[in-house]
Amino acid sequence: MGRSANSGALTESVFYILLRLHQPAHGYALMKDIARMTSGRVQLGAGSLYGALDTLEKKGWIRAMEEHPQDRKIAYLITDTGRQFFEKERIRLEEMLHNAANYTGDSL
Amino acid sequence: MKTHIKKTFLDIQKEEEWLNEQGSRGLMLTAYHSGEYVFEDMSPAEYIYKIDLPAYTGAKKRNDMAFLEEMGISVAASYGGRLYLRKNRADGPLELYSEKSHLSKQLHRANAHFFALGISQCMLALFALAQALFFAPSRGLPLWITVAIAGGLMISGSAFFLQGLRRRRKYAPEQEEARIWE
Repeated sequence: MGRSANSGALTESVFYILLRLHQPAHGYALMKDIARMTSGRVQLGAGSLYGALDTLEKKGWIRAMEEHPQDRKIAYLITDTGRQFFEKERIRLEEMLHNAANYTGDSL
Repeated sequence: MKTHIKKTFLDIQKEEEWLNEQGSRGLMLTAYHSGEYVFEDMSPAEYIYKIDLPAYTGAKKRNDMAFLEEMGISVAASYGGRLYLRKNRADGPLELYSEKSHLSKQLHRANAHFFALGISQCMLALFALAQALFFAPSRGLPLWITVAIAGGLMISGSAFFLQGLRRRRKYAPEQEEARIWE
């Protein structure tokens, strides 16, 4: 029942982080904007957000705009690699919605 | 006014509960060292606490702490791999881990010492028993004292180990639910 290992599905948190980072943002703005975008449904914890940003930066999907900013608030931005994976996920989600519409008879 | 309280906890969840009781009485944790908590009475303000066990060390840990501060969470103390985090209740909830995988890792780390204590005590008991039974020159009182100590260690070690297992089961997400929900 679980996600297959190679389905390429991103977690909801990573999806929204990558989406928001199409424009530069630092941690606090990310957390607030994602909560606002989802009407408060997706509330990222500080520890989970830091872990996700650290992993995404290591994988080269996002990059820090400035390594040592004066106010210690590091802003991040999605990279070309990140955009590719985000686009792949968007296509996967569209396929799911398309299939759901076909089988339930509802239009999108 | 500063209040010093000496207290020891084996269970991090219980320590967190106790800290939150102090926080609801307006006590702001400012330092912790070797079982001694230092609070300042800031009532009527109230504080909420979380104990984090970050996987990071060195520069990564410093960045993590700076990030938490950026998110409005104060690092009240850092001791023995634990971060004592504090937030004014008026500033909203203190949620650290929203991802199930992160939460699960955190819970495993919080309970790991029960297994470490359990296994090390059982190993020590077995070692002492083997030494006593195979190398003791006589079957006199020293042997029986060693056997009694080893028995005690074995019982205590098993209790720690079982406690670790019980807590892991208690806090682990339901397997069926985990197969359905992200």
